[in-house]
Amino acid sequence: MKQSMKLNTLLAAFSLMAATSAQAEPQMATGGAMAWQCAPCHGTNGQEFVEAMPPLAGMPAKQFIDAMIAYREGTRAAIIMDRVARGFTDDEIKAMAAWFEKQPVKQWENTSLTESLEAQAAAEATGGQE
Amino acid sequence: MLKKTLLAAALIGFTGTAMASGHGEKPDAHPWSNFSLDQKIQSMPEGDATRGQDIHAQMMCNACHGEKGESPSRNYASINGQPSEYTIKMMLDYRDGRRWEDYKQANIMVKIAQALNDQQIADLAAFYAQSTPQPWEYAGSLEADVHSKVDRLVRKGDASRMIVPCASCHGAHGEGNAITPALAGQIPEYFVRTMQAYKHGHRNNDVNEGMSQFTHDLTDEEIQALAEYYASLNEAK
Amino acid sequence: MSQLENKVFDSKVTRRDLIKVFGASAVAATGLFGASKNAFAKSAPHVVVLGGGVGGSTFAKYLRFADPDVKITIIEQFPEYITCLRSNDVIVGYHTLDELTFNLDTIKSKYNVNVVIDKVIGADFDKRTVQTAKGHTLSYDKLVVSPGIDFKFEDYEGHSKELAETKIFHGYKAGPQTLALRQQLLSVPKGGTAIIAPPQNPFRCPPGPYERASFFAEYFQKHNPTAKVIVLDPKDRFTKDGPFKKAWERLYGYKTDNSLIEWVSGSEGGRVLSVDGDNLSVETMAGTFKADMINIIPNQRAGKLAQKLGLTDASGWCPIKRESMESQIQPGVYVLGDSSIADAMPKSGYSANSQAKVCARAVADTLRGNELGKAIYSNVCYSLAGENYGVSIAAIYEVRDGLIQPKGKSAGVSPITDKPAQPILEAVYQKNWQREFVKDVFS
Repeated sequence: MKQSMKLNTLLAAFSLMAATSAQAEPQMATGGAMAWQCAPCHGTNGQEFVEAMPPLAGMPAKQFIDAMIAYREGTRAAIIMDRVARGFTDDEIKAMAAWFEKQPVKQWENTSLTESLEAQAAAEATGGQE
Repeated sequence: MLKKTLLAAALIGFTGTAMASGHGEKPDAHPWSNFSLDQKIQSMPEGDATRGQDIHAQMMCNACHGEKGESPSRNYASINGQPSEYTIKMMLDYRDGRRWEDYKQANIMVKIAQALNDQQIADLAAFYAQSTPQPWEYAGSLEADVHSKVDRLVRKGDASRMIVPCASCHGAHGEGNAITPALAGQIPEYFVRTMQAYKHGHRNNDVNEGMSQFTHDLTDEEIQALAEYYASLNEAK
Repeated sequence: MSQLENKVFDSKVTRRDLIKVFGASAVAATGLFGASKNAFAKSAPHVVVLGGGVGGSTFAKYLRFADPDVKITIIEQFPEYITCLRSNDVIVGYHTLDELTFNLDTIKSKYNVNVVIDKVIGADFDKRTVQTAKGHTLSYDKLVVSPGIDFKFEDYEGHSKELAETKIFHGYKAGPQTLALRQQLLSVPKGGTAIIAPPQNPFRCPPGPYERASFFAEYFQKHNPTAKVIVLDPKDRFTKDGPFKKAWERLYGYKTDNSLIEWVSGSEGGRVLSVDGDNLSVETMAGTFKADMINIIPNQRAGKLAQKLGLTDASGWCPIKRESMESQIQPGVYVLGDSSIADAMPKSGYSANSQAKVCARAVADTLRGNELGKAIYSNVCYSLAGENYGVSIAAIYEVRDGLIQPKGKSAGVSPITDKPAQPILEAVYQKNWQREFVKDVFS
């Protein structure tokens, strides 16, 4: 039950954050909303560790930010990530980085729904801050 | 000129060998013996680092392995500072089916290696051998007691498990030697994946199980700690 | 770190996991896996999803992420789903249909989704109910439809649903159609001709016809080198046409006398006006073309269910609110994927997956009474111009001036470079994408 309370608290934080951030027109999508879009290549929540694309779950935030900015600015050679990264602002990249850092370093198929819901709620609760 | 030749070679790859071998069909390669490997490496053309640098960019090696081979990714190996014999052996092993691991990072290298000839492989090897390994930029630090245990494993080995010191082949500073790779500054995820692959038999391109025999008795925790130890190792020659 | 043991662990949700998520009372009262209407606390809202393909399945999984308590039911006609994506590979033998066949077992067990195999025959939007062929009526709080596409055979004189099932196959819904095209391709005589007639915009999988033409050319090159493929197109441009044509030049002699591919554009009279199934010929503005196989990929509109439910407008497609994918015609009803009018987004599997995630958050926010978050969409399409030659298009999208538009400077196709690794790597990435994509959708 301890787990459940922790989860409930986190979910409450998730809802609260969604509610407060909704006062004005939101300026950018949440880290989670953006991070979900990466799944078709990098695995659900970035938890794919045996594919050609690098895993994003548990990646040090700084490394994620460095990579995305380098792709965007054209200072890192890329096949396709340059075209993707050019769609994101610094703040958006930071929010995704903070979100992915909190995801389990574990193949998606081996992750229970509970474990993922907790990790996602914890990541949302950061509000995209490191 | 180089660009044209490379493109032509690769196009032969598209329509020729790669397709003739079908959809993911494994080339038939004999395992190395010490003798056959030595013969093959001796017979390779002399590499040229300047040409190698061009190929590194043309074949987009830099997209995964960084501008000089220092990988910016968790997924891919750092290859700067690797002895040229090691790079040559790996590229031949990818090309000829000795590295056919079922994780898909290996698959990229199979396709790339199949588009290169011996001269180009030698040139790339010369280019990477030019630089020295650097500590991994994002490396953390090990707890003092874990560090001292791993340091002991690296320097003294563990006779009770018949594990020789890592440093005896990979060098006192993790700098590698001939076909034995440099480990200093290696990306931890890549290090772990490789060690696990040896341990569980997914990877077997080592001559006479020269590497895999030492991995069977290592625990997952030890492999992880070794990865972090080497990632932050500063090669001071 | 057991990542390397490539086994897919069947990590069923245990009763303990569920108690953690839902609290003991919800679990104690009911059997959660019994496909029971009472499976959740009575007060939890019920979201019903029509269609268990890419859009519907992704939506159910991600709605579970966004809301652990909501009741979710998918109604899907067939127990198994064959992905259209990569079905071109089946035509030339790079994949089997079995490898493209998926089911909703993991969606049901891991994400606690009620799966009903049945056909929806109608809906009552005032009472918020849907009726099924087996005689069930389900009530919903929110309804999500992901009905795919329907073909406009009537746009071609002499064409019909019957002809498309016996002789002039479209191969644009994967399954028997795909295998029929394969059979025809393998039967093209030495030096024969195959015709591919792509549709007018907009249509499902914009690069699909051109990838198919590439595959036919590659197949002929290997097995029937004097045969050729003629593309009869109503359009002057198509997606990724730059990199595709460059690939055709490099691989198939495009623009030479011995080219394995010929492409007749709309301005050159490529639009097919009529088809003669008995003589295997088509009439175009440019004249009559006779062939050994004809693959007409007909013009398209939103899937039959969307039409039947009155969710389409005069264009034949479903207008939606861009922030949420909610229908502009029926409040509380959401339309995902190919059927929807999503402006700059192509009708692709990736788009449907992307839209499903935006929609899942919007539905969860709406049910909680929260304002909607900002929507972000994406699309990446890898196509093969040959088995080892990939080309791609990628973009991130946002809602701007009331339309879904590329965000920042993200939109772009593969550069045409002299770097030989680019197409090789894109082909590898394409396979990575396919494996990963279906996992994100179905597991």
